[in-house]
Amino acid sequence: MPLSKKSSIHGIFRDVDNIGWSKSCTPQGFYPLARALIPWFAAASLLFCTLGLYLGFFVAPTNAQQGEAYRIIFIHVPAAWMSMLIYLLLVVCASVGLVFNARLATMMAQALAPTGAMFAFLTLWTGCLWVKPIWDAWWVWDMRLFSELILLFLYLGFIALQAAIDDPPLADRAGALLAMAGIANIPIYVLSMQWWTTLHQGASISLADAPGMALSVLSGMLAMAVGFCLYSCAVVLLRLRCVIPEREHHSNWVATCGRASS
Amino acid sequence: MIWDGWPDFFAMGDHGPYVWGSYGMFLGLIVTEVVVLLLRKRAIRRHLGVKSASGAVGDDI
Repeated sequence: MPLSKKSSIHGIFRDVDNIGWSKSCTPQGFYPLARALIPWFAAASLLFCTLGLYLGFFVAPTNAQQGEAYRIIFIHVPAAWMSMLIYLLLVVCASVGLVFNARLATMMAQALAPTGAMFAFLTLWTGCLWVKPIWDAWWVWDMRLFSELILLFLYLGFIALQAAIDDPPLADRAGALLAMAGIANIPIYVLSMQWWTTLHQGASISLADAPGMALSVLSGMLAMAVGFCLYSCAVVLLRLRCVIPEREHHSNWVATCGRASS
Repeated sequence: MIWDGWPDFFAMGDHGPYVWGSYGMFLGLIVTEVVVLLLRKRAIRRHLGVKSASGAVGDDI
C-alpha cells in the first residue's frame, strides 16, 4: 500500500522546497554536488590511509604478547567501526525514506549497503586471520564474532531483498523494515563483551588506558578509521551517482542530461 | 627503525601470511569496489547515449 503523496507532510516539504534551501535534498539537486565532493573525499582518504599505514607498519612497535600479527588491528578495528556506523546510517536513511517518502534517502540507503557489507566481510576476514596464530582457531562461536556475522547477513539480506522485488516502492519498504528489525543486533554487538564471557579482547579504545597500547598504535588506528570514513563517503557517493540515474532514468532531467552531453 | 631490512619486514615475525592476507584482502576489496562502480557508471552513460567528443566524462551523467 503506497504512502499517500497528498499527505500534509509532503505539502509542507513542497512549500519548503519553494524557498530553495532543500534543493540539494532531491536526487536531481544532489547529483552534481556528489560529483564535486567525490575527489576531495578520495584524496583525503588516501592521505589518511597512507599516514595510518605508515604509523602502523613503521612506527608502532612489535606487540609483546602477539608479535607482528597484531598489526591487523589497523584494518580490523576501523573496518568493524565502519560496518556498524554504516549500518546505523543505512537504518536512518531507510527510515527517512520510508516515513517521508524521500527518494534521495532511499537511494542513499541502497548506496550504503554494499560498502557496509564489504566492511563487515573485511572485519570477519581479518579477524579470522588475526586469531589463527593467537587462539589457534579460525573461528569460535563467540557472541562478538556472531553478531558481526549477523551484521553481514543483514547487509546481504537487505541487498538481496531489494534485488528480489521488482516493484521499487515495495522493495524500498521491505528493505527499510528489515534494516529496522536488524537494529536489535547493535546493542548485542556493543554489549557482547559485558554480557557474555568472551575470547575476544576488550574494546580497543579502552586499551588506550592500559600501558600496553602505545600512542603510535592508537594514532595509526585512528588515522585508518578516518581514512575508512572518507573512503566510504567517496565510494557511497560514487554509487549514489549510479543509483540515481538507474532509478530516475524515466524522468525528464536524466534524459535531458543525456541529450545535453551527447 | 623497527625492521631489520625488507625481508624481515615481509616476514612479519612468522606472521606474514596472516598480516599480508589481511592487507591483501583489504586492498583487493577496495580496488574491486571502485572498478565495479566505474564500470557501472560507464554502462549507464552508454545506455543514455552520452558521448562527448573528447572522450571526457560529460559534466552531468
